[in-house]
Amino acid sequence: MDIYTTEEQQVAAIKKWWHDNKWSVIGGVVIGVGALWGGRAWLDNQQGYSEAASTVYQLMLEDVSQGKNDEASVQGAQLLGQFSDTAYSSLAALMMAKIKQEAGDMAAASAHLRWALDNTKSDAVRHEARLRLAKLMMAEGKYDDALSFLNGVDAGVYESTYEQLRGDIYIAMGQPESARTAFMRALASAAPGERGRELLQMKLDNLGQPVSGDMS
Amino acid sequence: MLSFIRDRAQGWIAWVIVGLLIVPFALWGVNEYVGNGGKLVAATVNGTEIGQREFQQAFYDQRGRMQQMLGGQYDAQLFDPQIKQRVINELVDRELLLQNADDMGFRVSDQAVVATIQSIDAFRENGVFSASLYQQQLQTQGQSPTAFERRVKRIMTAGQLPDGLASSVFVTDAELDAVIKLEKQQRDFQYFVLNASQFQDESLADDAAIKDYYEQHVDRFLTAEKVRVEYVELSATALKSDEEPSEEELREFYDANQGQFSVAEERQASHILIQLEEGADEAAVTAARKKAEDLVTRLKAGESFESLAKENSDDPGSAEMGGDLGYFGRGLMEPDFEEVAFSLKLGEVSEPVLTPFGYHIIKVTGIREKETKPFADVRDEILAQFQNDAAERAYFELAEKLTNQAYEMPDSLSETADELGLELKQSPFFERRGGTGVFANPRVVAAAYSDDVLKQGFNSEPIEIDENHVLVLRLLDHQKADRRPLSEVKAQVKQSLIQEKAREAVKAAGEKALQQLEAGESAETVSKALSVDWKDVGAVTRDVKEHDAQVVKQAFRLARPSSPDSPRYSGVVLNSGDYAVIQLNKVVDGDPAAMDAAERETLKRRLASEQGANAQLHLVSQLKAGAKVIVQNDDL
Repeated sequence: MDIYTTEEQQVAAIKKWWHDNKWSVIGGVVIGVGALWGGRAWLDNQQGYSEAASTVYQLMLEDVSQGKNDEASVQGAQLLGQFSDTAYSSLAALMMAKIKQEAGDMAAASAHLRWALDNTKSDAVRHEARLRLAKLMMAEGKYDDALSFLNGVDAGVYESTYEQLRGDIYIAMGQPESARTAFMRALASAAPGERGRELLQMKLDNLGQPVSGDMS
Repeated sequence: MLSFIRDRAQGWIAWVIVGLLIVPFALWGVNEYVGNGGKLVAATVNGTEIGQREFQQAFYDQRGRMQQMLGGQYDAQLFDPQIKQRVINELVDRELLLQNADDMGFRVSDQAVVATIQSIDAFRENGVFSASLYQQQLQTQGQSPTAFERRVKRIMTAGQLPDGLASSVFVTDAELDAVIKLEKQQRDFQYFVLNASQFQDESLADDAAIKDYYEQHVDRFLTAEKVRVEYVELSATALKSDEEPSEEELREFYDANQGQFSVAEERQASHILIQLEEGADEAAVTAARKKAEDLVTRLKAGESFESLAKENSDDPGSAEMGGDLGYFGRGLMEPDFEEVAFSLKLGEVSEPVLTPFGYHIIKVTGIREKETKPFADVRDEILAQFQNDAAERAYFELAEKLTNQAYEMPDSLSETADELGLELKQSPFFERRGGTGVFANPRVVAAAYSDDVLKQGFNSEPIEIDENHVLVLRLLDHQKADRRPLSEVKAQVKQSLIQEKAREAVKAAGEKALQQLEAGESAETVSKALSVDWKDVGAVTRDVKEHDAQVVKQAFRLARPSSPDSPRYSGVVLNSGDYAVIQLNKVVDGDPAAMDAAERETLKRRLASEQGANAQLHLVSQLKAGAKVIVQNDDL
């Protein structure tokens, strides 16, 4: 820095620098502030967009709870169309699957579940969609499809539910030994507080014990 | 000014200004990183803290509800830790759900929050949301509306995913039929019970066998562990002195506490309300005032207040009573109402009075003057209070000394007792399950058997028996659990031995019978040989009540008979030690077609609700599995 010997020289150097660079500096500031501002506006807009989806979704839940499935379907269609990139779309798909299943339209119910499975960002929604799809396959008698659909999935905390469904499918197929193994696994992996344990135990007991004799 | 800055822009002033600007910019947000304002943390969920205050508030809420339910049965030592655990779990779960909701992009609008709050019953009056009631309710809970609204928003946001998962559960017909087949299944079976008591054989219990049994089961024949303690006990009641204060002192107290010995003025009033909705416009206010003024004119003209109130008052409760509100003291009514009601003469009618409810016309119908009891009437009361206060003061002083001394000299109580002028008492022996008197108190027992007292030999902490009653104890004598000599327990040992042998024998006999049955021996032959009768249950569902529950349960756990001619056999040791032999003849699955629609719907709902609850449970467990949760156990 000591190449500038006097204050005048320093000032001159700064002025020159400013002259050479002023547009880059001003441009940088404008772009920076603009980006901040724009980002903020974008966020607000995004928030408003999500809140709108949320409101439609709440209406849908309310309609379903009051048995107004037709109205709920309209809201469902809106969420799956206009708001398909929000988190509410996959929940709407789950709800639409229920509405279609209750109306007896298995194909549409399956299609909605598949959409949820493919498009959600939530692991929980994915597991639920998969389990419900398998349940529909089972109801349609497609046992092998249902079993292979459930295979190879990392069930994690859902293991008990997966195993119980497998057991149910084996029962429907008339394979009590495989069902027993599945129910036993389901029972062993059931979390504390898990509901329906009595029913699960009943399913297992109903198969009898593998060895007859004293079972005390 | 500006030209001044420009002139000096290249000089020292520019640097000072830049310097001044740098400081706030550089430190902006630093407080977010440095310390957290001394906020106590109950738990951390993925780096987000759940404050001790939030936890405490939720804990007191829940505890309050439990106390209300259980009343005096509420045992803080037993329930507090359980409630704390539950509350912290709930808060952590909700935080997890909320973080997930934020990540996923779930949002709840302010309008939705408002709509939800307005639908809460506690904030509604006559079916309409009341802003003043809302404010008032929050105030009693010590919450600000902003904080409350933020909480509601959080709860709503956190709830969307779990609610969506649960409410979209469906139950297929195939699923439902399978459950009906199972739950309505009927089983046709018969059984007999071999009584263990009939297999008792005294001859097996000779002296050698008794001694063997005693040696093998020494831990069943022990004396109970006991302790004896010495203790000092302090209570305000015991400190109550008979010392009489002087008459002057009593008189002084009387003068200083007039309020306590007098009943404030109360007034009875009737009113006619012309209601004004909140936010009513100018025109409505004018109309209401006009109506009220007209009524006043009619009243002055001599019309009856009662009948005008009945016809015109918008306060339905009092209108029926001719506007009567009964007696009330100060501080109960709206301030403007009160001011007028307490300034009118008896029988006088007011001009219209405006309060947040609307316009009132008030008539005073009764006055009970302020009344002060004379000193002579309350002298005994004052004396008792005087003595109580003195005793309480003495108690607190001594209790503090006791606490300090017992802590500072942990190896002895006698000096402490001497110094405080308290008696050092000795307890009788008592077991872990407690003794009599204060030694029946679970807190006293727990202290006596605590490590500090039992192992270290220290004084206990002061134990609060109840309000103004405290006790400190230390160990005097400890009798460990010890084996009781055989001679003392021989009869008991013999009895146990005979019973155990009988259980073995009855089980062996039952198993032999099972083998015979499985080998094809007829049911009658087997039962006759054992001189018992088969009980024919017939076809029953699993909820049948008339038979031993263990037998029914076992019958429903058996594999189906492979053919009608080859029943299944099984045995079960009952809790009584008896042995049941079961023959299962037939299994008939429940018939889904036989179930009526309503019952089917109920079952469907039950299954959906179970599956929905599990979906929520799994969601939370999954989030927990991928989260870093730290709970500050010590601070709870």
